[in-house]
Amino acid sequence: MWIDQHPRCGLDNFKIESFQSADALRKLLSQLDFKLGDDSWIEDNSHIFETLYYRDIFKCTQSLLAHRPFQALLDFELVRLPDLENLRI
Amino acid sequence: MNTGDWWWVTQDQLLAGGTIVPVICTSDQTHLTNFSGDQHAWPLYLTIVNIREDIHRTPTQYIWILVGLIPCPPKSAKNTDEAWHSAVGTVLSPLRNLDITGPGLKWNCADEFQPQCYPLLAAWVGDYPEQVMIDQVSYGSCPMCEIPIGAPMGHSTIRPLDNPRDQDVHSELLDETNINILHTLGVHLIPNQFWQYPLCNVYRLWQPDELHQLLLGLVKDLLHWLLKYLKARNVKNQFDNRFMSVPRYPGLQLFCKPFDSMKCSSWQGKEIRGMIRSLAVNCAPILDCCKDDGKTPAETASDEMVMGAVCALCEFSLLVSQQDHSDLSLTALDDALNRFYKKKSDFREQKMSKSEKAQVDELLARESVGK
Repeated sequence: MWIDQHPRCGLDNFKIESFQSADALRKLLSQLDFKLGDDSWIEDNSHIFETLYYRDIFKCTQSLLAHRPFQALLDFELVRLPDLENLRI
Repeated sequence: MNTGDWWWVTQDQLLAGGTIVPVICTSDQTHLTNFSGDQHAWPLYLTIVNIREDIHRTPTQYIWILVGLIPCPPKSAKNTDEAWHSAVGTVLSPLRNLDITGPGLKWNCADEFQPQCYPLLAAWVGDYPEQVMIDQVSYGSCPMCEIPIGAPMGHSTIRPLDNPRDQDVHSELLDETNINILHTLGVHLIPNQFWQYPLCNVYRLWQPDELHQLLLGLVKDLLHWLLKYLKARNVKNQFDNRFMSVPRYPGLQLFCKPFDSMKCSSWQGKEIRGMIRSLAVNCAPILDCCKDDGKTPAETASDEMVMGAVCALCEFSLLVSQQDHSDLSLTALDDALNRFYKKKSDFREQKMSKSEKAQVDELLARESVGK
């Protein structure tokens, strides 16, 4: 498995053993869709007490929806599940 | 969640072909570090319900995304709730401004389709202080129902969700400046920003919390009342013996100390779940109402009520821990809870504080003198 395949497999699969360049990894991570890295934070000083740091929630939502490892785990449709006695679950 | 009523009802209110993307938020005030002046932060996390729920519980899947660090106001600050709402309003403004009558948002999904997505705020995971702050109701009142402060839970005429809060009614009352009614309902006299979120009912964002509401709440209280009752009936030693001699069996927890020697503060959900599994079996032979061992009719009736309450709550807590529920299990849960509320009246004395007990004793003494 090559380094560029690693992010596609999800962060749960630590199978790769050949990280040789931190720069290469950083570059690849920065090229990931939706870019939820350090630069994704927005700074807002208009609040009363301290600075508010936040991210664009639509970008975050899109990144979850489009994350390839979740492809088989997504539900978009309504479902009615009956049990053996035809009662609704 | 896509099998539940919420999704079905909400889907009917969208244009045909619209895809609901239910958003769950979670927040809790967190102590960050001691190294830079006791810094506190209020992290706000987000996920979507379209991803299956077993994945939500896997921390290594990184499904919860940190979307905001809400600044914690200093302890002496005023209008802290207002500041928090203002900050959260900024973070969640895209959700609030979504036009549900429009075509939705065309987003790429992992299945390579581009559905018309409608991200909607569907649930919020938070503890009780968080709930009252988001709902902007007074501390001590129910965040979901219009139960007056101080009304007993399980009262025959007021049961949870029989009288749910309605944000449209609250908003109208606020417009008409009906301060007395709002005060009775425990609602703060300021408009709640969450009333403006499309297809979102701020009072129904809360999901049942088994650990805090049931195990560390109702069940823990029941264990305290039971302990006092057993002491009053002089059968606590018998109970302790049975409690410590539960045989080894998968799923049953062994306790090497008596019931009351364990520090209450160290009780966790795991211990209470373990107790619940063997509690009814430990109590039954001691409080057995059929056994004729010289008990007065009043004691027999009282034991029967207590045993009934214990059995009902054990049944409820075991049923509620199931992962899936059907109409059948929901009816059984309702039945168990009703039985618990009917039978728990015998714990009245154990539930009283010392001052209340002293007042009752004084009243009884006065009555006996009067006679």
